[in-house]
Amino acid sequence: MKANIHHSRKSSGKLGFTLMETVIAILVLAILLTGFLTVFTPAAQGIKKSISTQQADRLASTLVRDMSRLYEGETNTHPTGFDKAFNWIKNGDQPANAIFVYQYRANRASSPRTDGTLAPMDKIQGKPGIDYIVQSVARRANDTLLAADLEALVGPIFYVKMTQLVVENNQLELGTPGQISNPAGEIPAIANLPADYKDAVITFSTTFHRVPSAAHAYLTGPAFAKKFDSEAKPIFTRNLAVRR
Amino acid sequence: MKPNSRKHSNGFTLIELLLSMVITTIIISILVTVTVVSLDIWNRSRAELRASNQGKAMIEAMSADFESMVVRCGNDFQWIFAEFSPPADGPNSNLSPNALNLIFFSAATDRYNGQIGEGADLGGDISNIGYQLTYKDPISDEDVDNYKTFVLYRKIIDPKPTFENTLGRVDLKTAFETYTANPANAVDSMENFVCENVYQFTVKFHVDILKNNQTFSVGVSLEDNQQFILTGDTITSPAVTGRATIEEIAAGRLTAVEVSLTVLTDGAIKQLRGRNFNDDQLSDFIAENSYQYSKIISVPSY
Repeated sequence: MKANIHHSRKSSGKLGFTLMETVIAILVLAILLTGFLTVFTPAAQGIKKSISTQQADRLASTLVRDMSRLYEGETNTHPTGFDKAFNWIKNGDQPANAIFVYQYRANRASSPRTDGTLAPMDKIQGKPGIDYIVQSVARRANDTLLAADLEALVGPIFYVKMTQLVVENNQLELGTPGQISNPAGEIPAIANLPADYKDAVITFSTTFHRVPSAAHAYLTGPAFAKKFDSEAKPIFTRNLAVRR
Repeated sequence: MKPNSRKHSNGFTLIELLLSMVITTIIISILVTVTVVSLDIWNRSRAELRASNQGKAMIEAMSADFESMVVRCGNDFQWIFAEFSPPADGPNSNLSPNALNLIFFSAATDRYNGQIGEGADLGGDISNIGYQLTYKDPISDEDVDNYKTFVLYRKIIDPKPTFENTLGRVDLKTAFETYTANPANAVDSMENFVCENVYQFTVKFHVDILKNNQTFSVGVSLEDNQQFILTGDTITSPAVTGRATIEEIAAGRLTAVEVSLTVLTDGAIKQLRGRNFNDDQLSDFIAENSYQYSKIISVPSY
C-alpha cells in the first residue's frame, strides 16, 4: 500500500499530503489536545474536592452548635437545646426537614434577625471584618431565613444526614434513620419524645453531601427530595454527639 | 523547457504554503487558548488551595487552644483579654480593617515544645496564649517592604513562666506585654509563625444570657477600641444592640467563639504593595482576590 501510494504520487509528480494523511495528522493532534486537557481538569477537580472536604469539616462544629442552641423566643418551641437537637436528629431523614450547613456573607451593620444572626449582604459592599463578615450556620429546609441566606452564600453548601449510633455487641453501630432508640433494657425501646429518652447523650453519625444547585426553589423542590432520598455517597462523614 | 522543469520541481505552490500556514495558525491558536485556560484554572486552584491551607492553619491552632481554654471562677483575675487591634502598618497604606489582640489561657499540648513529662517539663499545665496579626516580613527582621505581608503569630508562654508572670492578674494585657517585651519572648518571632496573608480576622464571642426567664445565646463582636474581658466572676463587653445589655452579658457565660477570616492570595499582596486604591476599588479588589473562612469553636464549661 505504502509502495503503491509512493509510486502513484511519484508517477503523478505530486508530493502533497493525501486526505488520509491529513485526517490522521488531525486525529493525532486531537488526541494530544485531549490528553493535555485531561491532565489539568482532574487536578483542578481534585483540589476543589479537597477544599470542599476541609470546609465540611469546619462546618461540623457549626452543625452541633446550631442544632442545640436556642435563640430568643425559641424556648416556646423547645424547652432546652437538647430537645431541639433530638427533634433535628429524629426528623432529619425527611427531605422537608433536611439540614443545610453553609457560610454566608453577613452585614455587620444590620440588626440581628429573629434567631440572633446577622442579615445577609447580597452584593459585596465595603470591607471584610468591618462592613461584612462570613458566618457559618445550619438551617433546616423549612427555615424562613434560608432563602435570603442563599443569596449571599460563600463557598459550597452541604446537606447533612444524621443517624443515631447505638451500642450493639459492645460497640457503636448505625441505628435506624429517623428513629432514636433508648439504651438496651430501657422502656420504651424507641423514644418518640425527648422526655422518653433515658440517656444524657445522643451519639450520631453525620454524612455531608454536596448539592448541585444552591437555588432555594431547588432545595425545597421535588428534584432535591428525590436526590435526598437516593443519595448514598457522602463527601465527608463525622461522628458527633449532643448532650443534655 | 522552463515551465516543464517547474512542474516537476519539489517545492510547494503558493496556495499550498498559504493553506498550511492557515492550518498551522488555527492549530497554534487552539493550543494557546487551551494552555491559557488551563494555566488560569491551575493558578486559581493553586491560589485557592494555598489560601485554604493558611486558613486551616489558623483555624486549627485557634480551635485547639479554645477547646482546651482554662477559666477559673470566683475571682477577679482576667482569663480572656480581647481588644480590637488591627496592625498599624499595611501594604502601601492599604491597612487591615480588623484584627484582635487576643490573650487567654489554655491547657495547650504543645507546652514545653511538646516534651511533656520529659526533662524540659518544669511542671504545670496552664499556658498563656497570645494571638497577634502583624504586617512584616515573616522570615527576616529587616524592614524590606518587598517581602512584608500580614502574618499571624501565636505566642505560647510555658506553664512555669505563665504561673510566675501572667496567671492570676487583674490586668492580663499589661502582664502579657511586660513578659513579651523581652526580645527573647517576643510574640512576632519566627518560631511563633502560624500563617500569612491573613488580611483580617474577626472573633465573635457567643455568650449565653438569661433574659425574661429564658436562656439564649448572643454574639458579641468588637469594633474600634472595644474590649471583651472575661474575669473569674464577670464579663466586660460592649452591649449587643437590640439583644443584650452590658449587664445581661456581664452575668452571662461564654459558650463558644466564632472565628471569621479573610485570606489574600500571594498575587493580591503584591498588587496591594504596588498600587493605590480608593475605597470602592479596594473593596472590589479584595472581594475578587481573597477567600473567606469561618468556624464556631465550643469552649469548655467553667
